[in-house]
Amino acid sequence: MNRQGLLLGFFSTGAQVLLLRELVSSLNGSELFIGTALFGWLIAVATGAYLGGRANVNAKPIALFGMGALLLPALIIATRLSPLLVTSVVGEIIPFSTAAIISIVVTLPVGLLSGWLFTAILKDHRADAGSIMRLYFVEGIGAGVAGIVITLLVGAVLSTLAVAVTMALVVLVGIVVASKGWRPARDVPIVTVALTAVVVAAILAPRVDKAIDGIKYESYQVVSSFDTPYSHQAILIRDSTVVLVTDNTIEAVEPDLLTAENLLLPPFAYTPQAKAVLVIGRTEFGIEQLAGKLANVELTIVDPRGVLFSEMDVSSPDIKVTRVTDDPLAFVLRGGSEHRYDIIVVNPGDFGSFRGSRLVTERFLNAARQLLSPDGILYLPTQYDSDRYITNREAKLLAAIYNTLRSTFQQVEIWPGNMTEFFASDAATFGIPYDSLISNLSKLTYLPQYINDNYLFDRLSDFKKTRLLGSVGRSSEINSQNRPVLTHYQTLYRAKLSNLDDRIASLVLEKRWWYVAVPILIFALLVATISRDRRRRSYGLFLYFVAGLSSLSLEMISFYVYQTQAGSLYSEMAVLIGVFMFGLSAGAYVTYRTTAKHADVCALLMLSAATLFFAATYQIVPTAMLLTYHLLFLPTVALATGSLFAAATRRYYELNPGRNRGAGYAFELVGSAVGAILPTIVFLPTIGLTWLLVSMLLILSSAIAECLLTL
Amino acid sequence: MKRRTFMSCLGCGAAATVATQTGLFPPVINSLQNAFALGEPSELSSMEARHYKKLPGGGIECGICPRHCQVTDLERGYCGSRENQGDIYRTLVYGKPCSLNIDPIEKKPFFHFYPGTQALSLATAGCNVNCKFCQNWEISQSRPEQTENIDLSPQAVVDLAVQRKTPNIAYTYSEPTIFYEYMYDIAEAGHKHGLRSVMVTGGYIEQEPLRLLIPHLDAIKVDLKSIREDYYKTIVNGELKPVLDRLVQMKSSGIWLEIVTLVVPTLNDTDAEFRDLARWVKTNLGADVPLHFSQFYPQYLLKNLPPTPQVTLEKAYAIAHSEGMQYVYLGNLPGHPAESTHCPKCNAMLIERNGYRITQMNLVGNHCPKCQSEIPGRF
Ligand code: SF4
Repeated sequence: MNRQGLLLGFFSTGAQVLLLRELVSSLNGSELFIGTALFGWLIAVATGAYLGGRANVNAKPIALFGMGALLLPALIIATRLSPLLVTSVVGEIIPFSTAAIISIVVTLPVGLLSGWLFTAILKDHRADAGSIMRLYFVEGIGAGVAGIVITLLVGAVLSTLAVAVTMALVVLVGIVVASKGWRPARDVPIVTVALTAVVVAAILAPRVDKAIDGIKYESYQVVSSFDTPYSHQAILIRDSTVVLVTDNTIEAVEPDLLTAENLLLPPFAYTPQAKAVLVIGRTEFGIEQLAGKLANVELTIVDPRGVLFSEMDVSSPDIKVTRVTDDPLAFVLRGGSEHRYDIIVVNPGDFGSFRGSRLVTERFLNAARQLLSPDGILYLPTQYDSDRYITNREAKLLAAIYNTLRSTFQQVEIWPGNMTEFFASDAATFGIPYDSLISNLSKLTYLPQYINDNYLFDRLSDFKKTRLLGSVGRSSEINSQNRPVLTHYQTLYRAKLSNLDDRIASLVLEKRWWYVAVPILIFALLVATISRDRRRRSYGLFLYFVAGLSSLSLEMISFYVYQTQAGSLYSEMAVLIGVFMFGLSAGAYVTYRTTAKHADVCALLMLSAATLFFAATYQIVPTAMLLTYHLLFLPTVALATGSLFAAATRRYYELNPGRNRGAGYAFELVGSAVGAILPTIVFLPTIGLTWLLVSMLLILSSAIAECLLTL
Repeated sequence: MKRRTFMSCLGCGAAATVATQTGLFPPVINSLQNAFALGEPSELSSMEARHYKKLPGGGIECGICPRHCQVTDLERGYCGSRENQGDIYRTLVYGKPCSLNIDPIEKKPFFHFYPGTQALSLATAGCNVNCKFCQNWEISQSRPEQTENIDLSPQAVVDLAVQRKTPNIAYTYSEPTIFYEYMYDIAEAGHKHGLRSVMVTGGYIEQEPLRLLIPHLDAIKVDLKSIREDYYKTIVNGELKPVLDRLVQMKSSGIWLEIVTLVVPTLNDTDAEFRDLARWVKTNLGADVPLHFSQFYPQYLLKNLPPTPQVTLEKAYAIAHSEGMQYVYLGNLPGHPAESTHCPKCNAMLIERNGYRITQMNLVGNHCPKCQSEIPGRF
């Protein structure tokens, strides 16, 4: 059972993480789907466990493992191709509701099998009373191993698809060895064949990746297709245009002079003599080429991803460039160097991802400000069109950007247009007449094609500027890590693309009156469970709920904080989920084995202490320590919730083992579902992280109080 | 000249401020300030719509556009801007624009219609099609109660245009067909004050409403999105045939007409399509109708397609020329020769453009200064 359990943990967590990453990557890169995909996963596992647990169902683990191993690579490919199923033309955006459904459907088969396997393995060891907890424990170890392996391999060594094939082979070989024991005469050839297959998969996978992108982006020539530790990327060519697709979204195009000029030139209208320019974001697609035409400009580029000139088959332009392969936040926070920049260009990309919105926070901007020369300009171009009208949702987005810049810099200027552009400085740089702007631009050694009088007279007309200033004056909200309103408003803005999304988004995110129902319902559940029976055994059900709620909430909060500080979760998600699963199983196992009294109170206290510690320290963790910090926090939370799960089982079932075995699991599942979706998607942008953690602490405190009252 | 135009903009801004202070046009100015500040939304209009008929069994059939929506009580048509209220069809957007700007006429684009002039441009919420690439999707795909609207009667629009010294009023951004009554009344009132009206449309309008509207308009620009019926079905959610019929109707009415095709990579950018389109225009409307190919930029549902490459646009230009079209233009490529007007006979530069600016105006009246050929248009 131990070997099968290890294999189950390895397969189940590995598949979950690979599918989650693939979903985020294939469905336009928004982290929103992590919550819905995790929710789908939980439901699938519970359903699988229920189906497998029925007395008349007897499936052999070896068959289930075999099925799972074959399904995993197929599901990765299906996920990558899923946009084709739900869109009618190449390049069409996928609505949230569709993406959520895809994420649930894709995780369903492997989730079902994982749950089913758990009970199938247990059925083979019916006689052993402690088998559930032991299996749970070894499964956790397998999960931890899977997390570490995936984090080390994916993007850095192998593509997602190659890792999926490797995992499938490991599971297939492993199950043969696990079920029959190690027999060298039989197993050495099997392992040799499997290793050869892994090598072949590693060699073939990039070609398959390219072929899949070829199907997806038909009528484009796919130059290359590859995974990085941050995302899946493809470089396409058509009609002499090179297109970089990142996570199924166009990130950059070359040539695209209009965008390149908009990304680089506007701040030169205020400071034409600028020399030292720092750019945060990709520059190979037009910006470097343009900067090469500006005499004396020295470019420093901060991007954690590799340079793509060789993949693009384009030689790099003749310009002095300093490349810093680092996360932008880490770079600006490190500060220190004597070097100061005349212009800092922050190209945050899509605010739908925390990756972009974290660059418009007081923390980032304050640090970036230290790198500016005294009259330097921080320039922030956005994708929002304010040329002809500004809708209510767009106004809130623009206001949040404006207010956040205002909270850090003394002067902020905005340009309306197809790309609304923000300028911030501590010097009185912006109050110059229009003619001076045009004259400054004409001093450049490159003659702008779009950022010139022929367009700016219309773009910067008083009509448009007045409207834009009116819009940003409507709200005083500031974007911060504590309250990421930008991502929230971008979600609402994008929701308008589909009627269903729009209805769901305005119901869930705009009509906030129902938010108060959540604490009321939780309190009602607490009261109902303690008043049900005199001995307060039903209170165990509330503990199940709290275990699910706190484990998923804190896991999602940790993911969020990690992402906003480290920049990407893509690579580390595996190891974080792996150690979390290990912590959960270890906590449950240890509590089960020790007959400690008041395990529930201990677990709740531990959870509260971890939450409190997190609330007090998450902002001051040095970048170099981030992963370690979260690798310690998550297993602590998981240990406590695993322990709480075991304590709840004891409380609810101990004196009445005949009670419905599914009830506890169902309450935990409801708690997990609430924890996966509500805190980071709904409450974080509304009440902020601090109050979210305080609310968690309040729930934990009431649970502790009731535990003590119902001893 | 450049500076003067800009200064006049500034001057207008100052005039607006003065007007506010002195109480001149207070309703208009207040409305505008509300619009700029996105103030409280105004009530929807309840003006009775035109061109509808009551159905024998109850309900209404709208006759403004080829959709011919049949709606029962309290239902709205496809465009969301018209509602059956007790078997009286009402337009909800009359006097309720959600966007108001002053644009260069070249931005529409009109290249043969009073070059270098400005147009007071307005739109209401709603549209009778749903193009996946819509540049104005935030208003075109909204219902009027979802946008921030300004209270602006037809007369107030005309007053504003007079005050801002814009000789043209443009009905644009979303689809003016769906605010037909409002457009009609503004255009009619505008003519009384010597203001010209231009309609920027997809051409998806019924024959009779168009026939009655044309006398009040001075120019129409039609977005002929493709020459393929299936493109209209899958990408536009409309029909090609009625659009082609209306183009012929417009041309034969004598109103000034220009055509724009947005070239979307992978969707309507083949040589065969460019050729078929140019041939149709030449055969049915004439070789002297200006034909603009404009560049797609990722928008709305097609956010994941790249902008149209310049080489694709140049290909369209070359094909249309080779098919005999005399005035083919490429949009948004500043400084490109295909932005300017050349004499089709002697190739002399007639109007040189860069972006939205006219950098050289060599036309003498309607004639080429070199060979005296007559150049079609309103100059
Ligand atoms: S104008 Fe609107 S209501 Fe009338 S037919 Fe067209 S879409 Fe339907």
